[in-house]
Amino acid sequence: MKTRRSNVLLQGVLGLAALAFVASPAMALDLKGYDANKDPGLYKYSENFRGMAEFPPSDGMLEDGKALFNKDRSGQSCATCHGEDGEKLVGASTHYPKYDEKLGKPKLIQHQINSCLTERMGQEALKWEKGEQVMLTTYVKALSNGMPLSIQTDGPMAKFIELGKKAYDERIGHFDIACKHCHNTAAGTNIRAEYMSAPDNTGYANLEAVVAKLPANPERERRLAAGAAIGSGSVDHWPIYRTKWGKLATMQRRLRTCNKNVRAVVHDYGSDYYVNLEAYLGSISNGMEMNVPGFRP
Amino acid sequence: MSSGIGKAKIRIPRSIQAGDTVEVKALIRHPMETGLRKNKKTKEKIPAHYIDEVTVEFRNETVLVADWGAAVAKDPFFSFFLQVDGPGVLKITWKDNKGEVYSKTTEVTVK
Amino acid sequence: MSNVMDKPVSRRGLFSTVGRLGVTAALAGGVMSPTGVAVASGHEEKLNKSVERYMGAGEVTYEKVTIDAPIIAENGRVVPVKVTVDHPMTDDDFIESVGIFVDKNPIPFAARFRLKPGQAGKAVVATRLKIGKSSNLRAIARTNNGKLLGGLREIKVTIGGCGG
Repeated sequence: MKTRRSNVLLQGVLGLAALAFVASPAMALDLKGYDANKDPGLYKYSENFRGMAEFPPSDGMLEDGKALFNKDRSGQSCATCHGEDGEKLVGASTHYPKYDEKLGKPKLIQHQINSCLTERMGQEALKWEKGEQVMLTTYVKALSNGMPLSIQTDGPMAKFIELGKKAYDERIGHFDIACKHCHNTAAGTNIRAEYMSAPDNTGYANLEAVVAKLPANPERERRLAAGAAIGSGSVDHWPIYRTKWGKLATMQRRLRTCNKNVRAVVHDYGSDYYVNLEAYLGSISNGMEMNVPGFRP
Repeated sequence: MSSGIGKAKIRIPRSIQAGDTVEVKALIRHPMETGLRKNKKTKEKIPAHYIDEVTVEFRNETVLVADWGAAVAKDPFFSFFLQVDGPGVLKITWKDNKGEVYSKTTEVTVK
Repeated sequence: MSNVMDKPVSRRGLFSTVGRLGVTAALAGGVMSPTGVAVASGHEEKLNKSVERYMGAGEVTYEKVTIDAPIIAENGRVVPVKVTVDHPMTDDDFIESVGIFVDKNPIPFAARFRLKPGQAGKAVVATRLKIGKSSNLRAIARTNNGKLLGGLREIKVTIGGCGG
């Protein structure tokens, strides 16, 4: 465990070196935060926005997450089992959404946190998408920053990822469009000042292969010049800080808001529908390095 | 969950030599409410709550004073250039329109 | 862009003059649209008062001040703005303060940075602003001699895609 951790630390140091970041001793949190230089999803935004991403408003919020992780809850805290710095959870979040034997279906980190709280600690479950849950989820995810996302896609998970893919490809709502229409067919195009992300893992990795498949057009040149293919992943950099929302938010909020925007039925946070969808999105961004919390307009 | 009012982050370059002029970046956690927004549910105005004065001191001397309006974005960021003649403490103090005063210090080391 | 605006203007007549200069700028550089520079009279009044209150009275010369900001802001809630004043910062000739104003915001005043010569090595400041709608952004720098320099930049603000 020790070696794995120091490995992550080393990567963190390397990542932060360019930013010349100085923390006061009281906040010596040896945890790697968001690294804009490793986020291919920013390639189309302005220089100014990318400059902002190097010092996003979410900087420092992981410390709040750590404080909640160490918060006393009737004599115990998350740290009681998982270590003061969450060292025993390093790498854990790369597998989420993860299959749960007892439930017989995949669960999110939020579910896991809630079951820890209610079943082991006799506490109340955290409210969905409220500050405490989002902060803790972000912190637990960020513990694996720099490690590749590796969601199980075979075995019992295969069925649920298939269901997630079905939800992704299925036309829904008043607009009668599916996720894939915006996020695959129209990926990379502008939607006002923002642009449509593609949740796959092409990112910087398979740049040439991906760009080679594009027809010769300005978009192709642009992507080559920017050094980014179109896929910017999804689960690997969520939760994110979105300027529009002014706070950290999880993938669950994004999925619900997307559904609302296409005038479709909005399901509950953490419902099977969204867990399967998140599992599918995760499966296609598998291999991308965790980079939490991301930053978007 | 509190909004973390009172927290701040300061970034300065790592290796500074005496006489260098370096960019100091700071991020303060604050809602920066304009007083013009309404609560969507209750239709009541959300009272103004924003930082109106920021003072930066380096080696016990005032370097910069910023007066802000409510138009500065939530979780405000600012940067400026500092002439570093030697090591010392950089202190940022901010006051909001409710009279709350907070500060944050960081050590500037020189090679 | 600044070289077409280096004509000194009185602040009272600032906006009509700037309107004309804007046309010139549009013709010369094609950066600024003339309509974008036109300011409704209500705003003009507010802005004039605001500039006078924070930067002091005087004529603003539109030169030597550069604003670095996105042409189209990704989101009006957080718009990064950097102001660079091309002016020395020596003990007897320096920029005393830099003010940033958003013409069409309900409260035009955004921020003012008061600098100390020698300590603040360069007259360069940056911050992030809320900009309600497409508007001119105005940075005004005051020298220790009371001279006002200015820079102007149009910023387009759209609502986030999909409204979500």
